[in-house]
Amino acid sequence: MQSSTEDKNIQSSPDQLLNSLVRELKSPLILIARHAELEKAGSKDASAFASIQGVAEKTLQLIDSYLLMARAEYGQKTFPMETVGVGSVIHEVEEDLSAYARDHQIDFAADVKDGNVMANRDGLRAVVWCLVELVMAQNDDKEKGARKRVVIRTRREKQKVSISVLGNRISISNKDIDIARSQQGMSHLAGGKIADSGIRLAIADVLASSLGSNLQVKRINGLKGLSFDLALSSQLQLI
Amino acid sequence: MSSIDIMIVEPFQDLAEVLSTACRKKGFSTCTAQTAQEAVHMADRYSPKIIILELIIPSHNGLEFIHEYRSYPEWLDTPIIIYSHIAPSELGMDEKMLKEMGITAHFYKPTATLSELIKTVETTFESINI
Repeated sequence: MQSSTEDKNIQSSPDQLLNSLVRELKSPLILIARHAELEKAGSKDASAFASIQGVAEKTLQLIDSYLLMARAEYGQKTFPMETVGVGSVIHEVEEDLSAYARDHQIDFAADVKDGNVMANRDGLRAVVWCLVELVMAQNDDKEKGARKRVVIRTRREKQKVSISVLGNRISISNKDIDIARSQQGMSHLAGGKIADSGIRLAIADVLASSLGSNLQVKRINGLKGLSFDLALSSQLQLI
Repeated sequence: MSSIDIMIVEPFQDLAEVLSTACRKKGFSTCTAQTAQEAVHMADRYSPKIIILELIIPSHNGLEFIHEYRSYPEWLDTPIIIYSHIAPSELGMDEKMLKEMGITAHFYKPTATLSELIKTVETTFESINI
């Protein structure tokens, strides 16, 4: 086997550095997730291991989404557009988060009619994942014991397909509601303006723009619900 | 020369141990390698029936390893299962190309569960032992 050391350039590109950083972050999380999965089989404390696995896997997905956002933000990645089935993407996200939702008494309710959109599958999946995860994380019910719901809906309008993610009983501060009520673009809301939104909203916003879509706060009913609306073209847009 | 069932090529030793334990729980014998060079030596020594391979390995990447490994006639048919930080969409190889390289399956590490991986190992093992 010939050595390829001499071909390597010591100076790494920003993309290589980003990849290396992401791998460094993900490796221990993968170990934790897989170790927890291994231990939970046959363990008396299976739910604790399941919980560790769920949290590690959620964080892995967040890091992947962040990587996509960073590449899109710094122009290192243009997303190749393809025909993507909205229903299958939503189903995948539901599957990914189902264990965590079960553990936290959160029900998914989906009213999803499959339809094709022009998008990038990984990018669209990351946007939907971030929105659902954000709504789940914020779905902190004050009525203990009550189940919570996250509703995902799709709607077709002319040449657009909209995906809405709605959470019931969301804790959100008055200040956040005022900002959201102004119905500005999501970039104005990104960066933690919605309580505990963390990085997810910023990721969803940047990636939605990269997909040629608009992400908006569609509706806030007092303290009871928050809905994100993502409109995607079902046809290739000629520029 | 003793033969083992599965060789795990994984640079992160702790994860290699977890994968190895999961395989052994299913009755497979295993060995692990952390670099491409070590993997070639291990293959020479143990003639594994299946290889689980991370594509990002020190000194040479996993594709270089496959190329080298397949250059030996006795290792032409050993199934390789990729379990990697590199997603199938990033690798940019279609199913036909993967098949030509003798790659049975490609799992993206952050999302693929152990049970998915082990199930594929079992199916692959059954298919080579028919």
